Amino acid sequence: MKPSIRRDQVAGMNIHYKNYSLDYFLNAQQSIGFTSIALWGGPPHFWLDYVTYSDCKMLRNKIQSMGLNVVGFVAASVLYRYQYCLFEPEYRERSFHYFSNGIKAAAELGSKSLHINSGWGYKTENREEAWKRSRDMLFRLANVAQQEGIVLSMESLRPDETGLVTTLQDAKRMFDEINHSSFKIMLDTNPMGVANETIWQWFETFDQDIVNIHFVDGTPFGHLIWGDGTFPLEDMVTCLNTYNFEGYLCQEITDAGYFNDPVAADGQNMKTLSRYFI
Amino acid sequence: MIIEKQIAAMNIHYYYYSFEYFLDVQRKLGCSSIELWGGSPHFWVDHLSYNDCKIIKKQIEHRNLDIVAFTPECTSYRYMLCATDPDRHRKSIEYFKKCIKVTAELGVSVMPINTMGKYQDEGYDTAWERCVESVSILCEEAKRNNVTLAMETLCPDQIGVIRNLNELTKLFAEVNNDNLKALLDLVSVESAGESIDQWFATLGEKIVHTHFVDGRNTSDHLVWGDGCYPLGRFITKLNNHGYKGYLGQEITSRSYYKDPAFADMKNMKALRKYLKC
Repeated sequence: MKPSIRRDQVAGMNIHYKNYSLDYFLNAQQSIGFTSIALWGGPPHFWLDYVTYSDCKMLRNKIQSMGLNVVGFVAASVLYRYQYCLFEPEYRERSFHYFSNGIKAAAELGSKSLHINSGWGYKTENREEAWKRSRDMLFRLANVAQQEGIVLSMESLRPDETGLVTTLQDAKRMFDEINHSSFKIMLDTNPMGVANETIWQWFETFDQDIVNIHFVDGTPFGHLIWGDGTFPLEDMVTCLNTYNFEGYLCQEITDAGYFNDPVAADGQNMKTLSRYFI
Repeated sequence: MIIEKQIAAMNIHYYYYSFEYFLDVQRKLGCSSIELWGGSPHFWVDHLSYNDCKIIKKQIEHRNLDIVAFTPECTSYRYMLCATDPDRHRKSIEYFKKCIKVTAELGVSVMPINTMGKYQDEGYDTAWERCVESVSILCEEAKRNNVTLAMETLCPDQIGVIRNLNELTKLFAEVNNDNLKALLDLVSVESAGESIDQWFATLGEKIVHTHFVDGRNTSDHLVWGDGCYPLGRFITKLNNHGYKGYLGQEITSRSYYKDPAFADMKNMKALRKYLKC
């Protein structure tokens, strides 16, 4: 039997639309045939800080009126300022309020999860100290997520981004130590490939606790559209079917090569993925 | 002659290291001028508040180093001088006004700025109008604080309003304010097909600051020796034009984030060959 996925499981993202307006992105998603989007809540499309955030009711109505649903939300953390493991207590508290607002925004937009990562410490400091800071922050945020009725889904990062959660083993350790019903896993195929791991290994370890995937092609480097990298798409879809994956395949396209014409990239990507649609 | 003191170290590529680590490296390298990049985790300024400048000033001066310019973070699109959305635009103006205050409180006069962030589905003319309006507002704030805004042009893959010498010259004519000056970013200048000579011939003493780093055919800002620019020839050009400002080492390529101290050491070694001690 040919492996399959549902159209609504594929979620478009707006990172590579940063040189275009949010309306332009939404119109493009609608015309390409996406029904789900995972909103990257970063500049210039969404305002989020430690005090306030964009009007989500208005945004949700607008998105839904276009036949789209927000199925995932990211509080931008890789662009300076806010992250999960800041050393300075004052910046860390601001980050806590920022991500708490991110959780509230996610819930108001109708997303069931906020995509997160472990953050990173300074390269000169003890890894365990940084790990503890990250774990404490993620636990506090898991409590906020529980209150808001959503879950956190944590992805791993590449070793050039952090010394904390970069492998399946690290993710398992963090997951076990946090041990919270609102703390789940998001598989990101890019750091997975860089760590020389397979999607099968991740599902074998986490199974139903994987609620989202940043499901993109890679060499393993680069967050690429399907066909531009070397990942075995058919085998990966087979794995999703084997584990009856019901979550979302978020198209986190970040390579700057797509910034000029993100619509062409998304169109091509959708075409490749639609071969597997039920 | 360009002297050692004119080389200004920057902290962008120390993203995974503490600010104190950055300062200690500069002290060790004998690089005494600091162009403070005001981004996290080293400095915090947003549209609501900013760090106590006395503390960071003390950290720097305690090591016998000097701050020579304050450079706001303006590439993440969080704050954009020409933002379309009225709310983001208002917050951006507040942010840059706070940055001007920071510059003054740090006791320096030059604040580099750029126009990064423009929707490609928006026409150029409306973005231009917003740019002129925003820069004019900031010039008034700069005047009140004795600060000079140093506007840089952008690289081809950075989307914004002021992209080349021609557009910058037009901006000077429209804004017509003495608190607006020019920043020569070598990579932007080279990738726009312009030259140092052309810039000095057109703007002369309006050029108050430079981001003087090595480059190739991309917008990567590299340490000297890693790109293909003729360092000796470019320094001679600055000398010929009697340039007295700073050469900010705005090193941005992610490849240096892992070991920025090594990159800076290599950079200073390359630069020293052409400097007057």
